[in-house]
Amino acid sequence: MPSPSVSPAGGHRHRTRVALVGQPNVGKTTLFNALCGMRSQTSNIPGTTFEATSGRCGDLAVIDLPGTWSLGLEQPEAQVVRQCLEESADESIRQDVVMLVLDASKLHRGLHLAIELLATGRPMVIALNMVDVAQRRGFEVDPDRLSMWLGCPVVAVSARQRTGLDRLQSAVANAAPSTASLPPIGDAAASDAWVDGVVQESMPSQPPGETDRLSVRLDKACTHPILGVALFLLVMAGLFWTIFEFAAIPMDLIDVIFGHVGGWLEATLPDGAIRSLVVDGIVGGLAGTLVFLPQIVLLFFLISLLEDTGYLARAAFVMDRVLRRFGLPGQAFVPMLSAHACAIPAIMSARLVPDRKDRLAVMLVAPFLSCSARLPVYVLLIGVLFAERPLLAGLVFAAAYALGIVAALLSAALARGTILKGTARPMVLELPSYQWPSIRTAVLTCWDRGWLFLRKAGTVILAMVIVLWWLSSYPKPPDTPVAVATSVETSHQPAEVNPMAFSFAGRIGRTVQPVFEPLGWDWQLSVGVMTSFAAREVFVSTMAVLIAGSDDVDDDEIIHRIQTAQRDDGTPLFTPATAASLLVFFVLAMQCLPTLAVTAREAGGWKWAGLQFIWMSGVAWIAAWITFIIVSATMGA
Amino acid sequence: MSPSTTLDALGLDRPATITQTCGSEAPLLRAMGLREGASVTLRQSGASCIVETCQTRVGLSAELTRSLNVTPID
Repeated sequence: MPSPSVSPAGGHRHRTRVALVGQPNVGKTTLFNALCGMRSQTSNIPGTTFEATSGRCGDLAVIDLPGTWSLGLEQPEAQVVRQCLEESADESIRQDVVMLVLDASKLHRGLHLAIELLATGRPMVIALNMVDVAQRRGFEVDPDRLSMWLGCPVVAVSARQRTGLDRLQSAVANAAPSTASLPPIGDAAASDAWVDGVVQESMPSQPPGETDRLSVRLDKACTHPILGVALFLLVMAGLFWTIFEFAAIPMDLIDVIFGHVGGWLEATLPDGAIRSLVVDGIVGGLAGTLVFLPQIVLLFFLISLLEDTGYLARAAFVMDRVLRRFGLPGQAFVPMLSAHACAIPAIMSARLVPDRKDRLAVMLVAPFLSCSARLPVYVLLIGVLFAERPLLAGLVFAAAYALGIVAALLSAALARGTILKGTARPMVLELPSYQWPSIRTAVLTCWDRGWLFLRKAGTVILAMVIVLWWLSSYPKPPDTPVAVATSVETSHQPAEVNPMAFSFAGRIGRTVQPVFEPLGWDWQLSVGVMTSFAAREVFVSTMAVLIAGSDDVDDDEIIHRIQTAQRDDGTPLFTPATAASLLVFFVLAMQCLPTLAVTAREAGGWKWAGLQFIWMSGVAWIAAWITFIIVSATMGA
Repeated sequence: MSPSTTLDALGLDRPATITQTCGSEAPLLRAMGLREGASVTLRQSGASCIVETCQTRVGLSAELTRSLNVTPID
């Protein structure tokens, strides 16, 4: 029996560490969920940028390592698995037992990975999964004969039906280095002969020579060059309709709950800095973070269902030919579509993309796509541009979305030609058999993703929102009125000091105003844009506070006052040229601290988030400047 | 014996045996079952192709079907 690991302090850890290893689509994660359920958490594998889910199952500490086709590949997934299984592995990642998951219905292919793992000399147990699928297809695998050949315990299980799990757990106690006589590693002919022999001996009845007929029939439609794309668009439209339709209810509920909590705290706490910090900073910041949660949970639930059915692989297949022209793989379509709801779940879902360079390219460009937070700003600015022309307003709205898509694709192509040099890896994608999705797996997936979002991004986001609250709240203006010219008030009368204008954020706005001057913006618009770097929709409420002294952006009168506001010199704040340049800037700029925090976490460092910020904001500034010049020349500044 | 050709040139639904797996993705293709000696059938062609091997359907970029040398099974 493998002995439990010893902690660096010398004390015994009481749990045996078990690494779940297997090829993609063998039901590894379903088995992990069946063993550990909700007693699990996702975190980075120490020393890597890879995440793995780890959990408890009785006396076992199980870690679900990334799926890999072979240990010898150069793909990062294979490197991570190798790293965790090395004799000299660091204590923090060292595993006591390897649990190899094999698909009983595709034994031949899995046995090549088994040879590599058995040769490592690590204590091993084999979970022969999907025995029910093999039985349905008319053949069986004898686990005892297989065990004899492989020299380690083999347990037949069905992770989906949760059978054989107790025996599998007990078998870990008997795991030992394999005693099998293995073919030499690297000798392909000897390996093939050995695998053929093992399959022959351990299968009383041989599998039929053809693949699952249902999958073949469904694939005629789902992977068809035209019908497949139409089906894909239909499925994606349904996915996003479901997210927008059903996430709106809990999102409103979160808004209402935090509104009540904030109101209650405001009434309970004494007036002062503490109340402002708690109500405006912490409660406001938490509300701003948690409001994304329903979209994230629902998106991952639906993606998990689609992945489980086998459809997601087909969608990647049909999209590959389109996205490849821009250096992106077919799998990029899910993050890129998700980004139209919110860039945060989009970047998190980029983990569906197997290659690291491809994945980084997707994460870097996804925020170009117009998310729902941009909508209030689009409404305000397009209202200024085309107040009485709804058709033109609609066209510009569509153009704003199109501009985001074009910018994302061109940026991806540029990134793949420079910092992420190379073309998207040629598609090599298993098309697994279609099956009914597992609700349990989908629930556990969205629970895991939701919790991860709250635990990691939430803390960073909250800290950033508190910093922004401080910048926009301090220093407080003096009690006596001072003549500070603001917006709609006539410049002949002393105006009441605007707290936002007096704050650090306001001062920063005035300081950076020269940067935005070529775009036609005055200091008020500069403050609005600066505060919207925390979250885009903050622009509208900032303009409301600056111009109307209220953040009630649902009030039509206040929106009208913003649209007709004046600069310090009495000229209109919004002209067609400034509104157009602002619109282009908001389409293209990276103005979302939570997204940057998630990019840094998912990409494995703040340098990627920094690059994303600089590139997107640089492109936005240049495009907004060009827009300002063109519109000024054609319609007047 | 039939002459060796590449999988993309073989035509749809004709079973063949892989004689050589070439190119930079060869290790991955072999690990996925597209190794020398394995039976393979091209089921869909074009920019993105579908091949069948060992009861598995694999989606491949067209360039990868050109890296699989095969001998048709008569």
